[in-house]
Amino acid sequence: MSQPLLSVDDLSLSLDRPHGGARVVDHVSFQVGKGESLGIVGESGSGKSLTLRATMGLLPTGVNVDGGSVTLAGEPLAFSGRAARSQRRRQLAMVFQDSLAALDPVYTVGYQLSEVGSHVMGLSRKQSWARAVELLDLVGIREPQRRAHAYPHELSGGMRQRAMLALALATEPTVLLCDEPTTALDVTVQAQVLELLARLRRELGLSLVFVSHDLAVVRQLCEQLVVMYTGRIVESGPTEKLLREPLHPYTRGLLDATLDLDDYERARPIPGSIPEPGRLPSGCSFHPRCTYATDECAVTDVKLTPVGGPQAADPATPSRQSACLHWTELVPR
Amino acid sequence: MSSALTVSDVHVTFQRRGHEPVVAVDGVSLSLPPSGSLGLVGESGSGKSTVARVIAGIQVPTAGEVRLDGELLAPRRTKAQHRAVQLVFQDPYSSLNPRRTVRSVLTELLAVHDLARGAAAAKRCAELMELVGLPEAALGRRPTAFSGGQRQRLAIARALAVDPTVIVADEPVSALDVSIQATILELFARLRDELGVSLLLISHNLAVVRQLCDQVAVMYHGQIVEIGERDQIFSAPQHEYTRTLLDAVPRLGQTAATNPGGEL
Repeated sequence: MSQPLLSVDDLSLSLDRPHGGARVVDHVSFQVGKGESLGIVGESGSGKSLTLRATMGLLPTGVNVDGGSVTLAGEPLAFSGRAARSQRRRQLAMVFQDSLAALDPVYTVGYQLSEVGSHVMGLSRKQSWARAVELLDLVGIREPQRRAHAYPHELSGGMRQRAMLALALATEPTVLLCDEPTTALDVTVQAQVLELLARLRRELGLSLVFVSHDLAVVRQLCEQLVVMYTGRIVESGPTEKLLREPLHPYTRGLLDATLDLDDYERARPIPGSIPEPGRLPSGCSFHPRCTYATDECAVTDVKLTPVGGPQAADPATPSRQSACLHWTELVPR
Repeated sequence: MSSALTVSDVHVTFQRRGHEPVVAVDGVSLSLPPSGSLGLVGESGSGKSTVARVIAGIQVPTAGEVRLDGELLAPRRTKAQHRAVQLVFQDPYSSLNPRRTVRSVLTELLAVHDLARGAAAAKRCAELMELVGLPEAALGRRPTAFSGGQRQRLAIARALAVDPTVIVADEPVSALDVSIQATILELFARLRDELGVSLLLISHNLAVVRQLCDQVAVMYHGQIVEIGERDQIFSAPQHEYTRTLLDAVPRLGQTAATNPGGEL
């Protein structure tokens, strides 16, 4: 990888609890280069959204940063406060799952967009309105002149998602953080929004970090993938290889559980359920649900290590990592 | 083939003051055999949930009728008719009363419908837990103590408590994590096969419908544009809209490299 644009290193977060903190993100690291796209997948409670929020400097109250850093273009970023906002303002932007909640209901879409123009980008009122219309056009909203006067509730779900994307792009960011932006949408609209993201990435050279629980969606958009379970990265690597040949039992379980239109009779659920934060099993937190688990798994703190045979040593191919003692058993013979 | 449930030419029009009336359902007919399963797919606003509400008797149709085993289900239903068609909703977080224990919800339901009281009710509650794969201890807890998947099991137990002929499930797995969607679908399939319950599954997720249903109906703008056997709909869709819907589904076999819309 070229010099990473965005780098998250050893990030650890915990929930404030009366009897000591509960770790929800545990030593998470990933890098995204310019124009690259990284997917983060995992179930609810895996810590994927909190990781993204920490990166954006938008951690909810009650979540503490225990350690780690976020670096953007070589500059370390603060996690909260005025500095956090000013450092990210022009570089990082985020889109959310619920577009109705993310847009202000009492202002028109055009007004919200032009505010960014005049307050952040230093444009005049007239220029910023023109810029707002231009942005709506960029995200594929037809009749942008007219739509700019619409309030969020007057737009359909797909249209609102586009408007939110326009708002995120208003500061001309270099990295776009996406938190399940298509989950609430119909399949046909989801396909359009994914296509739009791919186009924007191509045209604007954007880097993407895309959080989702849907492997099929991530596969369409991201070349690199990180799989999270109970706040830890359990596997990472190039999407294509990782999904074709998962080298962590959890990734394999997730793939097997996914309902796929082409392979609809195969779906097999992962036995058991996700442990609660603060009550994680010892050793590898996945071991109680894992068919490969041995006694060793319950006592060993398994670290993410390079895997995948001889090609892993080759610096030309991006490396794969897995946090499993038994990953060799998953390699297809 | 005899049908458990028949829906004939149902229309629903919503009148709005100062606006044109909205035609939500425009002449929908379908039938569901005993222990059969029909998937109703379509986008938001296609009218699929309104059809479900008409079948469950919580929306009065503007025209058309719903029959169960030949008997007309009038807009105002008897208790027995209400029992026959039960609903399972999308969001197991808002469809269960957080202040009541599972036992109190189920016991009241059994009493209201004169199905069981006292020891018989307690026995029935335990049976229901076993049926949906929850421990008997779950009866003493409140819904907040359960995960999304477990809550959906509770919602299913509540629907089963009154021995329904038909279960209408409106997006029953779309609020759940991928890893547990399959377990809930498995439960529905088992109930259909073991108890002979007919299942009407409403979903925008074609993979869910493909997994569970032997028949599929595709709705668009209030009308059924295509209806047929599962394999026929998925392998040889006849209607343009069905094809659009199928093409839009992201697939595991499709990558950033092979997806034409997402070329890099």
